[in-house]
Amino acid sequence: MEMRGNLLDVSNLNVVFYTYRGVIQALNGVEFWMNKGERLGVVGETGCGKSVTSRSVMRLIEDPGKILSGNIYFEGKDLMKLRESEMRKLRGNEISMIFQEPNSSLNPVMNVGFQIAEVLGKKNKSMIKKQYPAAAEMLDFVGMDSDRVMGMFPHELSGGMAQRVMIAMGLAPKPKLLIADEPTSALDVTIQAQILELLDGLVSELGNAVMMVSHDMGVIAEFCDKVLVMYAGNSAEYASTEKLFSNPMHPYTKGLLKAVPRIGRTDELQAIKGTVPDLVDPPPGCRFHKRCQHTMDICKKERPPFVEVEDEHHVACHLFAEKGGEK
Amino acid sequence: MPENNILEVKNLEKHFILKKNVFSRKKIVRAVDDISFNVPKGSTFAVVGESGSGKTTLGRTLLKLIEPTGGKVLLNDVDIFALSNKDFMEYRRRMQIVFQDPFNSLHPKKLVKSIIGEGMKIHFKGIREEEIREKIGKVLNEVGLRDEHMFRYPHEFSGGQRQRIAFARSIVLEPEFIVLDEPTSALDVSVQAMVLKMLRDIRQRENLTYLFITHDLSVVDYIADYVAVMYLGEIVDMAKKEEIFTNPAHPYTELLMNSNPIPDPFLKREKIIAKGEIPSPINPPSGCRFHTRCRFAQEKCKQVVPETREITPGHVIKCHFPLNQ
Repeated sequence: MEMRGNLLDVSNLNVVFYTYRGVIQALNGVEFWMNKGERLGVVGETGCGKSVTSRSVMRLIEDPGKILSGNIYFEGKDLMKLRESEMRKLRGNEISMIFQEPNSSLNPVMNVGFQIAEVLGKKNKSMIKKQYPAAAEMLDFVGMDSDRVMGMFPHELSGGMAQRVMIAMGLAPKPKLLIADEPTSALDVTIQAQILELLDGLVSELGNAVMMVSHDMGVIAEFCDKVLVMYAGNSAEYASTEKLFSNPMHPYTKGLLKAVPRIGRTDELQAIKGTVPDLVDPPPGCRFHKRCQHTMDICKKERPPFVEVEDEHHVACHLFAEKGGEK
Repeated sequence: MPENNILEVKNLEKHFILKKNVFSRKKIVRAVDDISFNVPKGSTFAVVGESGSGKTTLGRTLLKLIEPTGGKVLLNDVDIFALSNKDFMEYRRRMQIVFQDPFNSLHPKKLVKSIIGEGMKIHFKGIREEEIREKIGKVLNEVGLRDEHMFRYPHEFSGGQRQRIAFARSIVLEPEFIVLDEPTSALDVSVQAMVLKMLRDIRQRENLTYLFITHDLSVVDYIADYVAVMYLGEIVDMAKKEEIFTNPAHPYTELLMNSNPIPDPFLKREKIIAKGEIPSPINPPSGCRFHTRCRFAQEKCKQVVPETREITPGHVIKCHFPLNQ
């Protein structure tokens, strides 16, 4: 199969969670792809599946969740077909991840130096010891004083410092893809600005691709080249950042952009009516149809295809489905 | 127009004493340190700050939910800290609060009816059950829910709906003044927009006054009339909203505005990156507390504590070298 992006190509990804309430259809036919060195922003509201998507790429969906079907090609390899042992080699080497809550993702009883060296030493005791100088180098790289921080424990770090350590751990193995799941959402704005600036510089230097999961349209606009808008477990819209913000097509994207308050432009603030559907029993057809202003009959019955409406601008909406078909 | 002020806060202080054990030396956290401001009737007064700035402590202290260390709070010219417990009850009703997290602030085992009705049984002595029902139905409609929702439990509602219930609980007591402590921070943007709209509409309809605590400046622009920016327990910049946004005078206000990411990829602007971390309020920096992170800091800032002064009418600032002056 030909890959649509030369780094990552995810198609028709379906993920479910088995709960006592029923089967949650968390991801339903998610599609996107990435090129080498590209920065993709995945944006959406709580429960839209953006974190599940990022974890699926690393095959980190645990019980009661399951990847039902889908293809995840990473540099030509089909990750779905890899054995767990092969997958483990990939994780933390070629694809690494940083999480939202830096303090709870670090080991509280190990010092910072060990934790970074551990990533580099591949869990091998004698190897880890040799990696301390490299770990110190990584800490300097993320703008920290390595002499001081190497021996510190996570509880001694502030949120911003802990996130720097996480970034050092994520980038230490020089991954081809860094997945950042809401890396700045738990931080104050001034610290968020510092971390984004840092990440921007480091990623430009290392040239790795970044998949940034965020609910903040502002962060996405400032950091990413491309944006995937997700809604209720579907890919709703996928385009370059410029195209998405200047010419949003999916009614959900439009609504989302109008719902973000902006300084000096708050008179235009508009909410999207209704609430996010329950994914145990998602609405038939287009999952957005109950909240949409342009609902047609077909929206209630058929799922809209994910089509290229304009050059490199993909939308899953019946309003544009025909347009894409003509192309 | 001081006669129009519903709330006057004078030199309010709240210090927490930290003591690890009997032998360790006392440490004092000045969470709210000598804060004074006035809130005009019918307005929304926003308090903005990062974590550790003392904004939540300020909101709770001025309602006497935590005992103040010093200072005065006047509601309609009555010093509420000087009242006896019995007389204070009336002011409990007149000043309400809505908390940040709607998942923890509603009792999970109580019906919405008892959550909203409980306050009425305490404050409106001898109120009949039918009257309570009628009032609950009315406030539920007002916050955009339906009458029958009173017979449900909190877990049956989404975050935005719960925040509406929390708000209904406070307005059913017919207060004059409500502290809203980050009421939309736990909500998604599309829901946040709806809740903000509701808050703004009800304020106008009922002629309420809000103290709106938040960390998000773009929300402030939507809802506030006046803004106070807090940093490590102090108000560093305070003015009308338009003044703050068009003419930020304190370098910290400028930094906060600049750090706010803007959803517009075409906007190219110079980013100001602050130095260092937010210092601990246990041991705030000498002189101007912001000097460790300020890009204009000079020798004087490290040594001399800046006076709180009015630079233009109504614009109060705590800085030696204000911007654009």
